[in-house]
Parts: sequence; C-alpha cells; structure tokens
Amino acid sequence: MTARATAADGARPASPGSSPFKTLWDLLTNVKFALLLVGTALVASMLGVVIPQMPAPMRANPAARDAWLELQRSDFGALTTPMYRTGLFDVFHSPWFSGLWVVIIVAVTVCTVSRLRPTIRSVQRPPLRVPDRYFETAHYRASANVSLPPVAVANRLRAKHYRVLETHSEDGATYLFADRFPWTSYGTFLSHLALLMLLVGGLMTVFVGFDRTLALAETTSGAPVFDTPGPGQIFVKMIDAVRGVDDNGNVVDFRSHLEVTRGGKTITCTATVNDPCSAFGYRLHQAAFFDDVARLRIEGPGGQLLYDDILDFDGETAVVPSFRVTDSAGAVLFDEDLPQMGLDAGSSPGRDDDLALAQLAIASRAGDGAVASFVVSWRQVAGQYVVAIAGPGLDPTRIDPGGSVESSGLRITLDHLASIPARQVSDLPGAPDGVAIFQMPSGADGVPYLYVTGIDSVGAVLEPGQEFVNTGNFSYFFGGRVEAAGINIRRDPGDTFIWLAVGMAMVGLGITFYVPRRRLWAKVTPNRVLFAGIAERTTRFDRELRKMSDELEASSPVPVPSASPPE
Amino acid sequence: MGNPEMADLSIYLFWTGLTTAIIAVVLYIAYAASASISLRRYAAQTSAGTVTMVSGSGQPNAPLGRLATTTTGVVVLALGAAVATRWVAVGHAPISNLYEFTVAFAFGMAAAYLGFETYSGMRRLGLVGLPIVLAMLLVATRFPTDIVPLIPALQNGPLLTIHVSVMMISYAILTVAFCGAVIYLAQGGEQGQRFSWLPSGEAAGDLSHQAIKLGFPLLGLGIALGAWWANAAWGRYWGWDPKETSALVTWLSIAAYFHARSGSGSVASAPGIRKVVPTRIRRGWRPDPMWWVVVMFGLVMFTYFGVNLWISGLHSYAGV
Repeated sequence: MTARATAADGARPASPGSSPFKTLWDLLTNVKFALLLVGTALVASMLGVVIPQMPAPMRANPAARDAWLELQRSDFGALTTPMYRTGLFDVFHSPWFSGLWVVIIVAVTVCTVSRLRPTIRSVQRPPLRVPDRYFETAHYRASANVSLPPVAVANRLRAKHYRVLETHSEDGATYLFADRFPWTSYGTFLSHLALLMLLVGGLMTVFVGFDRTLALAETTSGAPVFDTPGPGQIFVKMIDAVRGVDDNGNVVDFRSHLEVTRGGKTITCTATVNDPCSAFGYRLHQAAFFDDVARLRIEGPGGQLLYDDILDFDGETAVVPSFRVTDSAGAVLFDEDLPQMGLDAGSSPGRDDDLALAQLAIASRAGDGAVASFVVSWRQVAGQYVVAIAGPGLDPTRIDPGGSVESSGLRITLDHLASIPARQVSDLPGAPDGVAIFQMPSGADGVPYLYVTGIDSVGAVLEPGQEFVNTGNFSYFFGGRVEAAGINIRRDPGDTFIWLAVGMAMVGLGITFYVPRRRLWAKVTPNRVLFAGIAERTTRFDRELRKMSDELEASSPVPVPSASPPE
Repeated sequence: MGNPEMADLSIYLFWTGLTTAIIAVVLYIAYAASASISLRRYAAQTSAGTVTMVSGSGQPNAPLGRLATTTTGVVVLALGAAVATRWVAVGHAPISNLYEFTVAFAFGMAAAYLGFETYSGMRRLGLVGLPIVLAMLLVATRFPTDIVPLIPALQNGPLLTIHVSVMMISYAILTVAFCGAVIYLAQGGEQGQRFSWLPSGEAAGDLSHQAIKLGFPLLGLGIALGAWWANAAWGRYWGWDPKETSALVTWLSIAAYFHARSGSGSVASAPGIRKVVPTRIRRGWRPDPMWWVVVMFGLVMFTYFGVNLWISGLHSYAGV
C-alpha cells in the first residue's frame, strides 16, 4: 500500500500493509528504486576510477599512507583530508561503498523472492479472461473482419506455436486465450538469481577461500604455506625463477619452476603469468619477479656457520654514477656502475648535506702498474643529482650525464645515473659497528657483484663465488645473485558458483531478450476476430498481430465489409 | 619482430579504409540532404487552367544511398583486411595496443553499422554512424604502429582473442545503439518526427533497443571472460582495476536503461522517496530512458580512451 493510499484511508485502522516493513519491501521491489541504486553504484564506481586510489600496500602502513596523501595534496589541496576521511581515496574498500552494495544485494534478493510466486502464477495460472473493453484499449491489438469458426482461429494460433485454450462463450462470441513461450517469464528471474549466485560465490571466495603470497627465492628451502604446522602443511620450493628477455631486451616471459610438497608427496610444476600450476587442490600463480636477491653465507672466526640464506634487497636501491673511461687510443678501460664507497656526513646533523663518495681507479693498459685514481662525489640537490669528479691534474669539476672530462690522457664520461640494489643491514655478524651497507652493482661483464661497507676498514668487493675475510676473521661468501618470484597460493571454492552465475545470467538475458513471452486474448464473433495481447515493447507484437489479421482476412472465404459496425 | 611486408600492407589498407570512410561520410550527408532538396512536381486542373506546383518529396536519392552503403562496404573490407594482415604481421590477434584495438574497433563499428543498416533498411543512420567510424580512424593515426612483442600478461592467445574481441564487438554494437538513440532523441522521442529527412523516432528507438539487446549480453560476457582471465593471470576475478570497473559501470548504465524502460515515471516517485523529494522535482524531471544510451556511449569512450590514456592500472599495457 502506498503512502497516498494510506492517507486516503483516513480514519481506518492501519492495516498490516502499512507497516514499516511493508514500506521497505515496496521500496526494495520498486523498479524506480532499483534504477536509483544502479545509478548510485555507477557514480560511486566512477569516483573510484577517476580519483586516484591508494595502492593496497600503503593502506596498512601509516607512514606510506601519509606520504601518499602528501603527494595527492598537490592535486587536491585542502580537499585532500576531507576526501581521505570520506573514503574517496579508497572508494572500493570504504564502508559507504560496501553499504551501497549491501543495499543492492538486499534489493536484488527481495526482488528475486518477491517475483518468484507471481512469475510461477503467471506461467501456471495466467488470467484467461479479460474484459471486453480490453480489446479496444490494449497497447497491442488488431482485428480482422472475417467469418471464421473459433477452431480455425485456434488452429491458426497453434500453427504459430501458441498454446490455445477456449475459455468461454458469451453473447454469440467465443473467447480464446493463447500463450507462447510462457516459461520464458523465468528468464528475468534467472538473471536476477544469477546476481545472487555471484554474491554467494564472492562470499565463499572471501570467507572460505585461501589466499597467500610467498616470496620464494632460488636456492632456499621450501617455505611453509600455512601459519600452523601440521600434517596438512604444504611446502613450496623455488627451483628456478625465470625472466625471459628477447634479443631486443623486451621481457617476454616470467615463469617459476616449483616443487610443492605435502607429507611425503612432491609435485613439480611450472607457473607462468597466464598458466598457474595446481597442487594438492591449490593453485599457484606467478604474481611477481625479483632479481635483487643475493645469496650470502657468513661464518664466524671458528668456522661456525652463522648465516646461510638469501639477502633480499626488497626493492631498496641507491643511485650511483655509471662511468665510461677511454684512453687516448679510444680503448675502453672502464665501463660500469660505481658503487658508493663512503659518506661525508657534512656539517649539519641532518642528511641534506650528506655527500656520497667513491673512488674511480683506472689501471694503465701498459701493465706498468700505474693507476690513475679519481674521487667522485654526488648528492641530490633540489631533486637532481649533482656529480663532481677530481683527480690528478683535474680540479673538482661538475659532470652531468653524457658529459666528459679529460685528465691524465683519459677521457671520463658520465654515461648515466644507475639505480642499483642497496640495503643497510643491522646486527650483521662480524660488522664492527653491527651495521653494514650492501650494494649489488653489475660489473663490466654484466655479472652482479657485492660491494659491502661496514664489515671492515675498507669496502669489500665480492664477486660471485668469492669469499672475504675481515680483520675479525669473519668470512663472507657471496653465492651470486639469485632470482625470486612472488607466488600467490589460492584455493577458491567460490569459483563454481561464480561461473554458474555467469552462465545463468547469460541464459536469463538470452531468454528475456530473444524468446519473449506473448500472451494473447482473442474474441471470435460471427463476422469479426479481435486480438489483444501483452508482450515486451520491442517484440514488434503489433506487427505480428496485424500480419495475423491480414492472413485471417486473406483466408476467409467471405470477407465482411470493413464498414460493419464495431462489436 | 613480425612480418614487415604484411605490416606495411596493413598500414596501406588502413589508410584506404580511412580515405573511403571520408567519402562515405560525405555520401551519407549528401544522401540525407537529398531528402530535403528532392522535389516533386504536382499538376492540378483549376478554373484558371493547369497549375503546376513543386514541393519537397521527403524521399532521399536512392542511388546516392546505395553508393553510400557500397562505400561503407568498402570501408569494412579495407579495415577487415587491415586487421587480417596486421594479424599475420604480429602473429597474434592484433588487439594488444591502442593502434591495433582502435583499428579493430573502427572495423567492428563499420561492420556492425552495415549489419544493422541492412537489417533495418535505415540508411540515414549512417549520418551518425560513419562520422564516428571516421573519428576512430583519425584517432588511430595518432597512435604508434610499431610492432612489439606481447608482454607476458597478454600471452594467452585464446583469451586475448576472445575476451578483447567480445569487448570490441559489444562496444561496436553499442555504438550503433548510440546512433539510433541520437536520432531518436533528435526526433523528440517515440512519437517524434521533428526532422522529416531523418528516420522516425520510433524506428530509431526500436533499432537502438535491438542493438542494446545484442550488445548488453555481449558486454557482460566480455567482462566475465575478463574475470576468467584475471583469475588465471592474477589469481583473482575482480580487483576494481580502473578498466574493469569502468567496463562494469558501462554495463550498469545499460542495466539502468532497462530498469528505466520497465518503470514509468521518475525515480523520485518510488515509494519512500516520494515522501522526501519535493513534488516539483518529482514531476519536473523525467528524462527519456534513451538518455541512458547516450551516457552508456560516453562511458564506452571513457573506458576505451580515458582509462587507457590517463588512468594507470593493470590494463595500462593497453596504452600507447
């Protein structure tokens, strides 16, 4: 019952139909309200598309979140904070967006439930009789001036796949009811039900499914998948993480060769970006690839093993100059990245005036042991790196990327500024101050090596397979760079429901659009046949009725003049 | 990488298609204009003798119309051949960057338009349809045509072909729906006939609805296939990535169109809402449901260009 009807009822006692529940039910089943919900979901989703959304890793990290918001402040100014508080930078995880979808889901549920009984009734017990005036007012109607027995009209309808019933006779007229494809009324019901099935699938994915991402490096032992140990524990070991590169340097492939073990059983499989591997009911997806991981072994003075694992640079990098040095004959003497070897902390306690330092030592080609040594320093000024070089016969000179200086018969070119893996490690065994800085530049041959400061009085260079022993007799062995991959391990019991929902939606829409139901009432009089029907507006039912009338008139042996009075 | 000869041939065919599309646009304009300038001579015997009168016949020039349709056929053939040769050149379905997808989209639009023109006999729809095809082709000239290897995320031949093709076909068909909606709204709605040289509002609206009935499930299927692919490649069906969200919003706009059609009156008259929305607003704002089709086309364009060019996300590789 609507509000207007209730008001009109005046003093009558409130019926059950006027309860808040009934009002809410009416609202949720109202197609106009559905339109409002769809429109709101549309606008809300678009907000999430056009407004920058906070990346997932930053949401749980207050420092990263604040830094990200500061970046947005340049675009949104004073609106940044209110926008953050209202969830506009994280629309799809905001309470109001979730609430909107809850309302939509409830509305779809209510609609689906509410239309089930009427739909069944409409299919199984359709109204067989309509008032006579309906034949004059129906949106779809036609008439034929013919003299045909009702059975002939019924046969004509049956030939067009209608199910025909003779309902009654009255005042010399016979009334027919014809129904075509009544079962297709379930089409809309099916497509709405599909949305609920989608919801069930989604809920199962979220609440029953399993989802964990492990970073797995080559050379490491199998990593446990579950937090809780037990007989069902699964271990995943990275055998080989591969990044395929073509001749032009384009990345064309990421794949991981994995060993998955549960109990005494081991499954070996390969996961690629588009083809996850399956083991023990779980799917293992290739989610990321890392090549900034070093294999490191540290032994104490007595030879005891202190550490034998990977050193993950975890995406941390340092910017260093990459030099190319040629002699007067044009021979290349040096062509690689120059790691930072020291730091001039400057006079202020802050890091603004910190200066990175390195030594560029170039050996003579003559083999006489002569070495030309240059000091290189660089720092960041107003967002730009400024590099200076000084050496024998060369006053401190600023050098820009692509620029060159000449000294001692050498031409020194700052080829570019490179970003190399670099990480500070605290509590490193054997480091006098407990802190060491690891850098992993690539040599002239492209092979990465480790440059470590803080483990001795001088920086240590460790080529792959090489060991360095510091003054405290701690040994550091670099096993070389290893590759790693992020492997996403999932089990999703909801996927069956999701694909079932997609199938139901497609079938439902197909039925609704392409096999629309037609209901037809016919009044057969001795000299005229009148049709009135119901069908979806774009079925061109009016044309069908006109065509049927024309066919009836053409088949009638004695057409009645159209001037005959209407019924 | 690729087959340079076929790539060059594809470019030539693309330019052939573009040039022909310009001619087709001119022909459709001339065809529609011919309806308003064609004359019919009437003669009547009066007391003052025979009087001859001349008036607009309202019928367009049929040969001109046939020529416009034939030219559109040539556009379809040229662009189809451009897509086919590009396919041979790159070794996979040529829908992996904006140039390739835009050419394929323009081909799909032209083919969908031609199909619907043939189906409906509504030739003057080309007045809206062909300029859109031409605009797409002109936009395609702004994108690099270099052939680069498929990045790992796109190396799923069947799904790349099926998912992107279904999305492209649905967008193309929905573009035809937009053309019908433009004429429908220009005519003043279902019963309108503001411009005698355009198809009737009823016929244009009918055609638009037929196209939506085809495009809507296809778009849904395309989104579902995308979810399937996302599940395989990224381990999740849905991640609110800008591209997938934008496609969903487009789909929602069509759902809104269907709901608007099936309910009479404005949203503001829904029970509960009508208590709080002033009567003046309730009675004043009742937009035609066909406006949702215009919104839908705006969203298709935004999903296609806006998300690829200006918003970064997991589909950013589809950019230039």
